[in-house]
Amino acid sequence: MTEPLERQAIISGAAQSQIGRRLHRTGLDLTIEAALRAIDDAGLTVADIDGVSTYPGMGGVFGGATGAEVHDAAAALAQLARRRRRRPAASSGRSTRQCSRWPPVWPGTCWSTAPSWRAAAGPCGPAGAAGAGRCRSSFQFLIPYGVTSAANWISCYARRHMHDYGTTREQLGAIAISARTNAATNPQAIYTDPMTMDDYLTVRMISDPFGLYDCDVPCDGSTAVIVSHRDFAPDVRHGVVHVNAMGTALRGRPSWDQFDDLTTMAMRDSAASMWERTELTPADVDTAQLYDGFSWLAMAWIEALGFCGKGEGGPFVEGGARIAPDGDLPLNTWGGQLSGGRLHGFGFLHEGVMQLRGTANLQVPDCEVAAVGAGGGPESGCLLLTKGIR
Amino acid sequence: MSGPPPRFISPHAEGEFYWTSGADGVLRLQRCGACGRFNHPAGPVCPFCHSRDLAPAPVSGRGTIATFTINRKEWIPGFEPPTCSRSWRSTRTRRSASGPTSWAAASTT
Repeated sequence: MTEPLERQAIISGAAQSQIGRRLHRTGLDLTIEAALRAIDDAGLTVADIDGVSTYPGMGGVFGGATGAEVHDAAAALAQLARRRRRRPAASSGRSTRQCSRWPPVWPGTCWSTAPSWRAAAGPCGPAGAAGAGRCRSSFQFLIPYGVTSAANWISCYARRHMHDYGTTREQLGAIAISARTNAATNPQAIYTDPMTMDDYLTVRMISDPFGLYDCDVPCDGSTAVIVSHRDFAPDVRHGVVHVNAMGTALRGRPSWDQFDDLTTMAMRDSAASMWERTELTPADVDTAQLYDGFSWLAMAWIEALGFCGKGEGGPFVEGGARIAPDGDLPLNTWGGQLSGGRLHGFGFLHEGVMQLRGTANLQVPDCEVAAVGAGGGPESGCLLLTKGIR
Repeated sequence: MSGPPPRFISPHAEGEFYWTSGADGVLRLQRCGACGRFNHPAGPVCPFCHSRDLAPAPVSGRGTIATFTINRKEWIPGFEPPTCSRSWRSTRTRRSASGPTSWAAASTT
């Protein structure tokens, strides 16, 4: 196999800002806080940074997200540096936000951040597109039918998964309860009180089959990672995390509701493309940090990445033992977005890095390979990370 | 369900026929003249064969429910919960299990 391009990359730094509900801080403020911490974590200075990528990136704000505009972040960075050796390259990451924008900045170093997400109440998702009284584009075929939120769109996939494979709410609940249990060890987590299956099943319904605890919890916060060329690995003062492979493919129709299979999403394709780029296999993975914007998405990622067969995600997670920190596949050890907070994908990457460094709050013993997946619907990207250079 | 106010939809050029077709009681979906496949939402090019020979074609309105959700939260005014939204595949367009889906909504009360 030709060495994939991404194997030149290491994650030399990772950090998060303050995380919480209604912090009344701006997305840019939190982003810069996370970035400076990550730069320091990597043992670098701002002047060492060659490029910037943010999510949502350009256009910055949509439906409930208040991320940092990439140019604002780059400008703040330049001012902080006082002097500019070169113009920071700026780009926005989106569907494959953890992966796609890295190659242009190699062999230098860049930082990449996730947005903060507005915790204030209000219409989220495409409902925001209807704020002016009209909806356009493909949303015109969703919103008039009451299909206004990602909760509606994704619940329809979960329902079809239940229909085809017999998946149950209790099985989805195992993902939510496991996340809650793990979150208790994370000082930055939003929900930390213990949750029982009865709590899960009796909480108010949002969009059947999703109740409140199937939906992630909005929060304010930002995550930053520093990506460097592996030649710099000897200079990293803590454990080096190596990118073994990334997956970004989308082989079906890029649509929330016109995908060819209503029991999986684009993660099917990004996961497949990731395994095509590595000699490692699902059996080599010591922990999985998988997007759980809604509980079912984590189950779909587990299936997509081949930790079980298609349609077997329900029995795989049932009871929670297999996905517990001491189970076969420790899942979302930071509490996931369901309890840790909606850091829009980057919380999983941060936790994967901490696990491989051996510094996670809830550390998986002898953790050497981590699978990280982010996204739902047509948006999807995943990474296979290893401890040290392979 | 009271449904959306009239000003709610601002159809794009390719999609306007979908909303006005109901005036004569016939549901129409976009169909490709080159490969014969239906495409929804309508677009400027066939996503399957890239032909631009596209036109609205009548369908029966009968179909199979692909999936559904019962929504319990009011996301935007005009949709007081509970509402039931169903994704369905038209019988005529269902050339395969992965044919285009359309949405339907109904009150559950």
